[in-house]
Amino acid sequence: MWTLQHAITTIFGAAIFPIAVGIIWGKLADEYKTLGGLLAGFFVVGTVWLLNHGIGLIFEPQMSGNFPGPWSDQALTCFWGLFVADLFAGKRLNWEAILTGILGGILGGILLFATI
Amino acid sequence: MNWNRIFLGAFTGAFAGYGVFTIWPSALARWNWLGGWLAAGIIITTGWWVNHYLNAIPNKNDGAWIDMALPIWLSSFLGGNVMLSVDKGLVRAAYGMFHGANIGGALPTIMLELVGATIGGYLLYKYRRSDV
Repeated sequence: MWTLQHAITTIFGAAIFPIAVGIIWGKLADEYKTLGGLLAGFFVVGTVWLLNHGIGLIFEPQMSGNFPGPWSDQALTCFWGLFVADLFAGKRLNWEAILTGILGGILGGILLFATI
Repeated sequence: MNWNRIFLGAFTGAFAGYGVFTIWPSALARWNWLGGWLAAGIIITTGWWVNHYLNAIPNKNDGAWIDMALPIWLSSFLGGNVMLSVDKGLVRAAYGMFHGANIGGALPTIMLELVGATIGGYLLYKYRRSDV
């Protein structure tokens, strides 16, 4: 069951992920190129994941019971945060990229559905 | 619309989404929380190399950024999670919309994630403005 405490931790977890990615990733990629992405994979996504899902800042009560799902990953916060940050900055909608992302998600979902 | 580019990006996006929700639950089941941390470096890094460092997802300088996180989130939301367990082999760890999972259960999480991410995105925008 949702409580105010869960709402607070979920909102914080959702806010920190796009901030961390937006601040650190570009710097690492500038300084270390390809290896910067490797560092960012571990120390940005991995470490934030430990808090958001490993510990559970983002509350997912739908995962209990014998028919758990659907899982709403912290990835949503990364996508949405970086997207709106650019919208605040006045950038335009790139429909080609949006369509690519949605088609990729549908295809990934079909593959996960088809595996077992 | 460059459809070849869109399909290429859809394939690499699906690769990231499928990779995350098979490798991540499996590493978590095998090595506990450290497995979860390692999974990020194993699959997110490769996903970022193809999707963003080499730009398979057609982001442009004047367009609002579409991160590979969008196909990743959608993959699990639609198709659930698959786990290579230590004792039972390949098992299903979560169900998605394609299995008829109840969206209502996830809706509070999704809404609050969007609220938090909007706050984070706004603060990031402010940070970047003062940075230039």
